[in-house]
Amino acid sequence: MVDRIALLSRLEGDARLLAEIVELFLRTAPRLMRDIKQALASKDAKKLERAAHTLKGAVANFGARQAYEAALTLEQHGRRGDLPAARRAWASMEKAMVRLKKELARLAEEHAA
Amino acid sequence: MKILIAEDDPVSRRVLEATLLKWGFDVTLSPDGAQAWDALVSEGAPKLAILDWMMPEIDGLEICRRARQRPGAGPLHIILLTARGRKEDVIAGLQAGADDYITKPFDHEELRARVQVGVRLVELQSMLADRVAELEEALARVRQLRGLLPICSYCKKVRDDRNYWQQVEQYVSMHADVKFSHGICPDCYRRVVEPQLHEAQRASGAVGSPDKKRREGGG
Repeated sequence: MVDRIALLSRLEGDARLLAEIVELFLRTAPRLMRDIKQALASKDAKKLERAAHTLKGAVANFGARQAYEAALTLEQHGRRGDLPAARRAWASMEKAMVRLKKELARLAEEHAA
Repeated sequence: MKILIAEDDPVSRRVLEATLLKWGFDVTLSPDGAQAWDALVSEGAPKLAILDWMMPEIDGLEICRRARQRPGAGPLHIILLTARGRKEDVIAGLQAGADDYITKPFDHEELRARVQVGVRLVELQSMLADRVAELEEALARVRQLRGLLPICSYCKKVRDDRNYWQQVEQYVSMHADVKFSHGICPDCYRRVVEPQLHEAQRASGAVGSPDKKRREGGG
């Protein structure tokens, strides 16, 4: 799921930086997920679009296609103000994030070793 | 060279920062548009900026617009970060005043190439600005010599603004960055110097040089 080759080339093979940004992501992503959830609950399309956009940018750094697509879908629904569709898309976002977090944790461990 | 990174996502911001630091840049970071704008209008502001499009407070597009409307602003090269594959975004960004764009997630080599373009343009613009300032300064000095200059038809003295008659070289030296080195032109040599030399030789002949005496004595 994570595009390791693209990721490491972007970081110029810097394993320390990789560990650092993984840690940074794992620390900041829950807040963005919470923002999206809140935006869905309060039917705030603008907030949804913004939070999903930021999350999309964050996961893009890891070349995480599935999470990227899920965030993009949410962002587009937010832009169009289609909150029912956004709520339906939320499950795949959650699923993608669980997978991504696991994979990143493993990746950071491998490179730390 | 100083470079500004304005990006609200901490991961992207850190990756950009680390990359540009490795390439030897002096990096300034802003997590939102308001801080980015403050950095751009501060003393010794960065001349190169990588701005995220969508940011809290002021977005990247609005920063481009403001930057281009600022009177008397120095060179500023703006690279806008945009989402992948949105041509209309790119067009809107360039129209708002961005110089270039890069799509997220950025490609390492593409970022390097685009930043290098920015460095080249900023250096060129700075060089041109310095050159224009130099020329303006020179022009300000030369301008003092323009206008109608009253000159005496006989002795060629020049009358200055305070109704004082000066030698031409004195007047020009005061009003321009010029120094005179004195010499004699061939016409004046024939007209003035040669007769004086003849006169001097004649005078010394009249007093009597040892040479001439010997010649006279021997003859």
